[in-house]
Amino acid sequence: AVLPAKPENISCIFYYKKNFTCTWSPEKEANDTWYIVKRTYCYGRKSDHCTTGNSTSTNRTSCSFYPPTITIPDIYTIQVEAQNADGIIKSDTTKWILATIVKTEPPEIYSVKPVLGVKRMVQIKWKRPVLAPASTTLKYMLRFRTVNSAHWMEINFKEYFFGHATYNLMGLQAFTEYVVALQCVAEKSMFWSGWSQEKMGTTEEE
Amino acid sequence: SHMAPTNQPQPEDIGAIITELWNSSKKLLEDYQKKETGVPESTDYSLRIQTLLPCFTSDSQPPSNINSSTFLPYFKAIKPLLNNSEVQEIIEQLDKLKLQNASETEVSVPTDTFECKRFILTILRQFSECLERVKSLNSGA
Repeated sequence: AVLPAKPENISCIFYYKKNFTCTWSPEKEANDTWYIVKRTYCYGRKSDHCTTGNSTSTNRTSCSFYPPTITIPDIYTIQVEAQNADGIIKSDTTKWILATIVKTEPPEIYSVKPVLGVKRMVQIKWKRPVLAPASTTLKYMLRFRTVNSAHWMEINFKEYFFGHATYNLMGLQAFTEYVVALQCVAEKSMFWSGWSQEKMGTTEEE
Repeated sequence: SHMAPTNQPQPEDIGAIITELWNSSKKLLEDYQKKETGVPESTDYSLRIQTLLPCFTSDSQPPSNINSSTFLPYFKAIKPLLNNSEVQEIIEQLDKLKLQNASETEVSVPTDTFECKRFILTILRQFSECLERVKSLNSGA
């Protein structure tokens, strides 16, 4: 009998309002092995599972849970069972606090403009991602460069109140065109969003 | 070893659940009002619901919490009538706040279509207003 390898290195990420996805190793396992991912949620009050790993499925060491049973805040436990004809091997049980693994959509910048009479500054306005938790403060990373430079400069700041989406970028060169991009992260999470689309704006003449 | 987490969300989580519920309930009420323009609320449902559904639990310490176990049956009753995943997400959030041994009452929905819409609108409004009050209490406003 050749039992499957014990599933390890379980890694999970919560794409807010989209899915909660876990992956594990070993990626390469015999074709006749399949997996059951057992989840407890609602602070341990509820449980369900998802299955993966029949020989035809492409990504065989990944499984996802979907709305409406993925809501923040919550604490999950995840255990992966590997099964083949000879038996079952269980992973350790892992614990996941959703607020620490949530990933949101990128913000959307809709304006980069100078403020009348204020030199060497542009005001950046964007939309808070719709798919970002209402209960979480967002941290932002802004990067900017002049159009003819390849060197990005970066600034971090935080959302002061829900929906706060304006930033005054100062200390720039006069009458110069800049490229700006923005990404965000839920305050306790380790996963930053992707970068927003780049947006351009020009500072006032001196 | 199966280390299921404690079954009760921490105070900080309760505040976050209330904010998520507030966000979902606002959206659900707006969507329903757009869909059912001209349907008036019903005062007698309002009164009956208000007496049956005390908005707060009676815990003294903050954060203030919504009376989850009395709203839950209403949302479970109207869920089949609303083709909206927001309702199930609200039920999932309310389940987190439910006291472990809370009993759950049965709710019957009016059979008349127009009455049924008034009933739904009243629940969504009451729920949204309740969350507004709880949220402002919790943010000390």
